[in-house]
Amino acid sequence: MPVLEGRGISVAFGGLLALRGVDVAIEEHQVVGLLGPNGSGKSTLFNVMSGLLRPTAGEVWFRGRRVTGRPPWVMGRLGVGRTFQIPRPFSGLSVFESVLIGVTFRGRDRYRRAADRRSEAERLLALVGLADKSGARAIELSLGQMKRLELAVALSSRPGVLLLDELASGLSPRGHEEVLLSYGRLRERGLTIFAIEHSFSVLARVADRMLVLDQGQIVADGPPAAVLASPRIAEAYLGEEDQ
Amino acid sequence: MNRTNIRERAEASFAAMVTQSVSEARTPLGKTDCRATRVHGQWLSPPEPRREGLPSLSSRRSGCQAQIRGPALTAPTPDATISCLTLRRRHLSFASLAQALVSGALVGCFYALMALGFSLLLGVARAMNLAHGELIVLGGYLGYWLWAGSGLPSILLVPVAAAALLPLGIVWEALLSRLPEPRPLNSLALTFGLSLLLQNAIRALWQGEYRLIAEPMLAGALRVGAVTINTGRLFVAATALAVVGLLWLGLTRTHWGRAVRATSIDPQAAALLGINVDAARRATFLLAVGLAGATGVLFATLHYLYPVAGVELTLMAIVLTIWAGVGRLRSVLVAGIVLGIAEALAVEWAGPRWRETAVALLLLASLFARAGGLARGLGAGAGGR
Amino acid sequence: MRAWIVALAGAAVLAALPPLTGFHPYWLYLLTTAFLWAAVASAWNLLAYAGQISFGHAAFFGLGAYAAALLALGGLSPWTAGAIGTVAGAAGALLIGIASTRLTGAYLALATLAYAEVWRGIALNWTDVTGGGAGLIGIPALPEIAWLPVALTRGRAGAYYMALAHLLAVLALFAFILRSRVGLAFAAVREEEERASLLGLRPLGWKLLAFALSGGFTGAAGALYVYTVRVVEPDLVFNRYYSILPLVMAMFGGLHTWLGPAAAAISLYLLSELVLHPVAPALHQVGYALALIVVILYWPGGLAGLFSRKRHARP
Repeated sequence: MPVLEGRGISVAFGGLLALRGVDVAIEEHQVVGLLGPNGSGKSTLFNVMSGLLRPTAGEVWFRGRRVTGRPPWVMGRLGVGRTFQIPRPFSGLSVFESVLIGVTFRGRDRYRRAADRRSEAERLLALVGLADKSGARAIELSLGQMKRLELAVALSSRPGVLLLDELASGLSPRGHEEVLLSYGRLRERGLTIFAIEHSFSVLARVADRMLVLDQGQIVADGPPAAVLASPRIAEAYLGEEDQ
Repeated sequence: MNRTNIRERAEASFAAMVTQSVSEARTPLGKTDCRATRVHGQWLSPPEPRREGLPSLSSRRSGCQAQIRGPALTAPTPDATISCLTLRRRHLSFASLAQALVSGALVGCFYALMALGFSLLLGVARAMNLAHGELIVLGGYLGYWLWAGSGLPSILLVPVAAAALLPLGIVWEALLSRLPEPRPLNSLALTFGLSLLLQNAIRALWQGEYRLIAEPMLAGALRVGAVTINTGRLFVAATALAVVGLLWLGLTRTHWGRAVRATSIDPQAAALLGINVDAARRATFLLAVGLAGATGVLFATLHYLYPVAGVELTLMAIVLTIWAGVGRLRSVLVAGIVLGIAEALAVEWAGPRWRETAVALLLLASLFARAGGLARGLGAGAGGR
Repeated sequence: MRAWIVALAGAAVLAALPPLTGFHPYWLYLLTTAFLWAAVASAWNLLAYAGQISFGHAAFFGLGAYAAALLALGGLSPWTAGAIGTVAGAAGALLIGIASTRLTGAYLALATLAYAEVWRGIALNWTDVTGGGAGLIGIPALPEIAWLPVALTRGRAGAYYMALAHLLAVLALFAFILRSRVGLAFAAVREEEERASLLGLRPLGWKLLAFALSGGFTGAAGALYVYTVRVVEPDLVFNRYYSILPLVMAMFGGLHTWLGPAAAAISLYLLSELVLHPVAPALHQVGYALALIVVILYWPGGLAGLFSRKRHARP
């Protein structure tokens, strides 16, 4: 059974249909990529599937349970994590505190002792390479560092499914390489990943499956090679190819 | 004893005292709950008994007396009538219903005008002006002062008071355009401070005394069937409608008006269209504050002025803006009339004492029901912290 | 660490003040009121730390005041009545706290403002119970405590030490919260509520906790206030102006900081009473209003911003 599923999701903002009848099924341990031009509804789909937005129509299922419209904390406790395309740090808190939140309040695997919580937070920071920035204010980080913090924060709640929103965008080519490594490492840890990226090349190397969204509808769904081979998709929706 | 007899007897007793200053009067009323006071044909909410200068009416539930207590009325007029109404557990007659509808609709036009000043500022500056009521009260005091000093009819004072407040519009614009984010919240706090300043200024200039523009012309009454229309209210409603109409014409037909509307919808797009956004904003501030001044004069003919009278007005303006949406003239007019009628009906039924509380509850309920809509009207992200 | 030392030293000085100054009644009264305001400002700050800005703290103050007054006049021991007043403040806060599910920011602030007006209206018009505009008089003072020196618990001195104890209690609670999970949750809900929710926090529970704590301490302050002045009336405790005062004091002292609001409250209050009041008694509200305007437009960090840029609410 798919871990996270969206059936017939439609979202209307006033008169504008952001998503129309989208069907998505993410199987466990898969890495699924989501592509599409700007405004195609990718982040909106993520918002729906993480409980941040109630769809106008359609349903969201998690491991066979209907979770449509449940508040975000339910999704969080069930094991869905999310990063945001434009990083949303806890401004005013330190990097360390930002990661500590998920560790302290997540739905399962909670530690009783504060010392254990602190060590896990430190481990998470080390994982994303921010150990030396532990005491800095979250808003003082560079973009690349903030994206890494986004990942660490998302991981702090020990999710089983990660919705990653454009981890690589805005970064240098070296940043892209690091993100790729992260994807690989996450996959090794057994996480299920649903990732939005703007550039095809990043995802093509790690994804098992690619979905392409255009104007609120899924227009392609298959292995990267097949999606890439489709000439129509390739020329219209792949955006810039990175060097 | 039936109700009519009671009332007639009470009125007869008071009529005998009409030409004197009323300091204390007693009248037998029978076992009725008497909660409302009508002086000069207008309803007054009885303020706290400690306030000087106003009569207050009280009764005991089980007793048979009504008392009017308090210092002398400042300006007894020949046709001052004092009457009582019974409370609750009585059926609203068709006549009183019709009366409430008419009076309520008339005062509702005034409420709509009052809300417009608030709504304009909210639309163009994304700022909630908690000092709106105080600006109105200030306009009212200015109008009273001019009326008492010059004897000019109040209709002429409306534009004068509006003009007199314009310098404050410049001050408001200067302060509110410096607001840091989040604008809505900071504007609330800032204008709260400004409202305190205005209250203190009013107290310093006019002390705490109650003032009313009591023109004889405004104290008359027309009888149309079962309904009594107070000429003062008619005048206020007519003036309010005229001002709203002028405003509508100005905003839709003139070049300047269209610039203002465009700026309030989307300043960046307006700038791209070549509109001088800063000038449009400043003009809107002046307009909003001027409207408050004009509203104040009208308010002073309807109701006694006192320094903290503005609180209730501000709350009402916010309620109407939530109901009608930001800057939509027709909706505000309709909402105002609805509020006026609802208020009149409620006062008929329960007496005027709980009016302020009812407005506050109404605001709470409106916020709960419609805050989402208001936030959307202000633009995404602007409605939050 | 530094802040702790300052706080302890300050507390010691304040505790020693009455005997040293000969229990001068005017000073005792002045400082008592200053402590009450500092406590309310800190309680307000606690709620603001959880991200909820209230324009209606007068509601909680008044609820505590009236509950304590009515019960004490009804025969209950003032201590019990005061405790119930605290609960009344907390309950009143919880009631409006529920609004925070749907309202945020300016709209929540407006709702709290309206809420305070509703309670004021009830106090004003429910004459049978509350005495209406005239209010209630003859409220007993806090009785002496048998096992403490009489001079410390009688009359003005008693009120002084109670208010000081109350203030220290609020500050102690705030300090504890800041170092614990509760403070982390409050800060998370304040900064990024949605994100915190995704991490497993249930925002409503934490917000309600903040409301209850803030309202409870404010209600207790209200109760202490009526025991000090021995009268209560709607405009004395449900005054709209008293809703804005904690906001001014907290912002002036430094929003979200530990000691800032309390220090600013005491300073501003003493300043307005000792300097402004003799000079221009009608204008003491003006000082606060100007302070508010200045803080919002020019000085968002408040006093605490002067001491340390990076200072963030950790003692």
